Amino acid sequence: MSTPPKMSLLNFSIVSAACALLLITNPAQAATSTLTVRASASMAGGLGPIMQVRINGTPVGTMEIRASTMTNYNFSVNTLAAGAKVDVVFTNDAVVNGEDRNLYVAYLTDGSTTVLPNAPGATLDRGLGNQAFDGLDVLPGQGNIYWSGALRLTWPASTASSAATPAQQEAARLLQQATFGPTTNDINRVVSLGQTAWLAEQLAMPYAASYVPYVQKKYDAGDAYRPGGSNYTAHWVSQRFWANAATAPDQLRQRMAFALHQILTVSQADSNLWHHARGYAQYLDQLNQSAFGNYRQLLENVALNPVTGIYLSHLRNRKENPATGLLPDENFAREVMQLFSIGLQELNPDGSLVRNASGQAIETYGNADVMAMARVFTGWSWGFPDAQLTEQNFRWGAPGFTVATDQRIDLLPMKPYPGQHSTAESRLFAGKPWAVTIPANTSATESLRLALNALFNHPNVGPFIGRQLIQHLVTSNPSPAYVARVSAAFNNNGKGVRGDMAAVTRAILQDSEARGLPGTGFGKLREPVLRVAHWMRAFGATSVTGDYMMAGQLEPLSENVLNAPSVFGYFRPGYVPPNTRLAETGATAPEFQIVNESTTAAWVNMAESMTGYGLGWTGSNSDVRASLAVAAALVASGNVDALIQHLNTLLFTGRMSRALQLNLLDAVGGVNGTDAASQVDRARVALYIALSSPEYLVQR
Amino acid sequence: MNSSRRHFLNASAGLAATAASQGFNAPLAMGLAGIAALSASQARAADTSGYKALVCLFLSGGSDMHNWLVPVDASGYAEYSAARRELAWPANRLLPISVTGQAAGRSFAMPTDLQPLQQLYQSGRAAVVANVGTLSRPLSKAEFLAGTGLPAKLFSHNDQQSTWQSLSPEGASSGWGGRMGDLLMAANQQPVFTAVSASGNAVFLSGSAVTQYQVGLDGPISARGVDAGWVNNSSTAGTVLKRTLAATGDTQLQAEYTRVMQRGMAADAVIKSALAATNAPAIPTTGITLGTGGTTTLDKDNLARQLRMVARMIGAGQTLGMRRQVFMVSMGGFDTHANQMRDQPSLMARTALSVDYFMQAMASMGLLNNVLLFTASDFGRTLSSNGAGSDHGWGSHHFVAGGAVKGRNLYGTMPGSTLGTADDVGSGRLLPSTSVTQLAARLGGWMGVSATEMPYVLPNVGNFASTGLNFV
Repeated sequence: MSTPPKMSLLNFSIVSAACALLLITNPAQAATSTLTVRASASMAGGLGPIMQVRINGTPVGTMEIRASTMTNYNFSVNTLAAGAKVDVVFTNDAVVNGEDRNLYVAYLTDGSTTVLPNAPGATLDRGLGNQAFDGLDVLPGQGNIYWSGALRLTWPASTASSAATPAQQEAARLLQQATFGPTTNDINRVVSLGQTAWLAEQLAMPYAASYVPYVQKKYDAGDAYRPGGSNYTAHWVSQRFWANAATAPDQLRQRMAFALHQILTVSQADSNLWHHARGYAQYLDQLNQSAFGNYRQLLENVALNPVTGIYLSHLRNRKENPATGLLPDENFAREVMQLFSIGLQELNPDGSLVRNASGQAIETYGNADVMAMARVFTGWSWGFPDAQLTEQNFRWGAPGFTVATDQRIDLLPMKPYPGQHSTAESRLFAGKPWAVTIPANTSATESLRLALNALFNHPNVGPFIGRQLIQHLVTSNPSPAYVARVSAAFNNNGKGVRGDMAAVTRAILQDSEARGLPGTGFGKLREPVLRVAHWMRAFGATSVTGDYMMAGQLEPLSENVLNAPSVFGYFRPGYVPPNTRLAETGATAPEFQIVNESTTAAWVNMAESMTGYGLGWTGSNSDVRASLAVAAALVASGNVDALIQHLNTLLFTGRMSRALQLNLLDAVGGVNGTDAASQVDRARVALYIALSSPEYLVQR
Repeated sequence: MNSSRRHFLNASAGLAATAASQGFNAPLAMGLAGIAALSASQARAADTSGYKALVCLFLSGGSDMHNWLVPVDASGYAEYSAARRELAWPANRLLPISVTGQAAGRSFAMPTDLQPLQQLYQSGRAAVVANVGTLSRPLSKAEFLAGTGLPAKLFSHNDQQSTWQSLSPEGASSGWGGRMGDLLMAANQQPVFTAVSASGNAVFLSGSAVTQYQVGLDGPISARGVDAGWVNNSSTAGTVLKRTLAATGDTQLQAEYTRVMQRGMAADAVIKSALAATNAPAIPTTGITLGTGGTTTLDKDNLARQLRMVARMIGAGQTLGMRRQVFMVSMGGFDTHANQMRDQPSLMARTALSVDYFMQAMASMGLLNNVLLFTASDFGRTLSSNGAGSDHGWGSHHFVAGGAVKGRNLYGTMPGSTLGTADDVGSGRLLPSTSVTQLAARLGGWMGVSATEMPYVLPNVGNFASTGLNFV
């Protein structure tokens, strides 16, 4: 609420008092309310516009407007009934020494209903005195009042019902955690089914491969569209990512798969993967396919996917050779432990560190374990037909991608090559209760099975993976108790099964911490990918080409999707932003690792594109554009409050602060015109301010 | 020494001890106001005369420096090629360098891809510090094998990146570049530009009072709608936006996001005009052949562009009343588990050409003697080959360059290139003979941090003897 405007004493026939509120009312009517005119002015000759307000022809007050920024001017009025005639009269237009005196009206509100000066039916009757009401020289209503005259409005029926119901708010809140963003349809679906049934519906939705067929369809256009061809691009995969985020019905699965991608990261930023769009597509299909399956299977799928093999260099990994000193590649061995399964330090089920007698954290493995694990992942390479598993193919063979040579080897798991796997004994976690010895001369397949079992059964997996999934979906700094409940679900789905990711998903999303009233420390910063996907879904963004050509779009925001800088992902789960209040309590806030002076400003600029020109590039134009038809129709119907509530529900789960709502109204009030384009501009500018706001950027 | 000065030193020592005991995992036990006051009193202790900038060039992924500095005396090269096998450069690809200070009879060379850096070295503007790595205290191989006194989380990328930058693993809240800034920032008229990153958030640049300032490749990024006359055809949106971006809300997450946003907006006005008045030479269009077969030119190289931005910031700093600045630039791709011999030439060429450009830029701006660039990386790599590349190691050789460097020299002790030496803790992972702390102490000394202040920057500095690392 702004401070009352500075008033000047007016030598005016109907004005007799110098106070913030000048009233001429009928005392016989008791029911009163406050009518606020949000206005600003340009002055001339030291005098501002004189603004008189009349209700049904009766003046209720007159003020001089002197503020150059939008300010509230309050009038005590009888409660406004639907159909009441409200006039805002500018009585002293003048130009003095080149200064033009004008009145600018953003909106009028009685606290529950807001009316724009260019609402349907509003007029501006130009003229002084009675000429302001004579029906001559009339323009459509407008807020920029450059002439003496009356802005004449008809008060609409109350529109309080445009706010989301509590059930809709809770549905939207679940959807922002469990999907790439709420849509009106999905909110209604959750409300009608109930949250538990909606989750069950999503969990039961089967996955049909999406990424590989999309890339395959491109490949099917011929060799020019295959690796090495002039029309080939690895960006096809990210195009499909955006299409799925925007439109796939199995949203819970898609969102989980994206979270899993951020834990089991394979990145297209590695130039060695440039020719493997289809293999990378397979990696994403597998993440989706396994998202509600068992973590053990997911781990194996990722471990044996050849793009993981290229990215973490265990494809073609050779066994040790004591004669030459050659040692197995340790890359995957290290990262499968540090990042994909158990992490670096022993954890309690609640995610806290296990400490030894002297209070020190305990590292989960040492370099001997890494070297042992490296031996496990020797002898694997491209999944050529069994008769072709030669040493020559192991070391040098690569799948063909031309129409003539394509055997779709990139879609097969890696295979063990005879004679290429280490024959040495591998001891993992020696001295621990979960120690495993893989005897000498164990086959590659059996070694891998034993090693992945050892990782999967390590007590760290539940808290290590569970806490990260909570961070990706719900809150950056979950309580230990929340982590413990999710760990318990990982350890046992209630039917004695460990690693059931459907049970983990339910545990994360149905937890009291996720569903209860958000405390001040609850929530997470929305990462750029989620912001953009949210916009696409909420406002039905479509792609002109159908291909969502947005490759590299989020690079200025440091989250170039599917192109994380390294296997450590876009940001680290343990990141605590230094020199902040968060650091004082050690509160993790991973997304802050990509928040800086550049990315904060870049987001505001992207929000401007999203609400204006659109995103992506077809080669000659933007490719992905939101439809603001629904939002524009609300304001075109005269119901600007419904526009604000529309954004409130879809972007803020109904929790937008009053201050921000008023800011949106101020921005909307600065748009001129009454044509259809101006209504779209009103929707745009409201969305622009909403998306840009730091308040939006925190998902709660 | 006056009493307030003594009081500070006591506080500083206590601070260092606290920080050391907590491994810097916890925020320093001092509020921002305290450290700012401390920093002000520091201005007398630290030497902040003239202008000095320290530039950290971080080679992300763990660069295999065994191959940047190769022994070429007969026995040395024989050992190197025997240990590295397919990872060894052929002798005809190596450019000899002049070396003093190493054992008699030892000679070294750099690959031709590093020629610009080799020439900087030969002309006395660059030096090498041998076998530097993360250590909390001096360590013997026997202690390593017994597992006592080791730095935490060796060989892990993110943790060793953090340890190089801050002396403790991931989760550290401040780095030694930022802590130098804490002590030196009082000398700067625009303290916000004390620690500047051209490559994203890095713990190296965080201090207790200093927060890193992020600059884009082409300068600061501005939110163009702020205060704009018209946005989306609204005459009020620019004003409303400005107000909205200042709202701290009722959560810490929103408040901190807003703080960063506001810091950027406040800095914008100051830095943009200063940058506009600064000239830094254009990056030449020198051709580079990439390991994957493509070609590019230096002016499109991300590292060269980061360094040009640093040059521009340094230039702007001269008009903004800056005296001490710490910068961070980085380049990725050094994690050469596979395809090492394919990829390393272009990695080296891009680094050397970028550094050479930067040194020439500084020379042309008359600031070469005021700037010191050093390389850093997650860790060194194994001497052993895995057939296609090398694996995570520890100690590594690094470069320092700048007009003030006593170049054309190799500091510290170059280890032998055979497996199983006293420097080898396994597979040719080098036990560092010089600690990051010692390297940082010399850099900090050049920046003006006094010996008594050094424990604040480097809490474990007292564990190490002062060395003969007088490269500057």
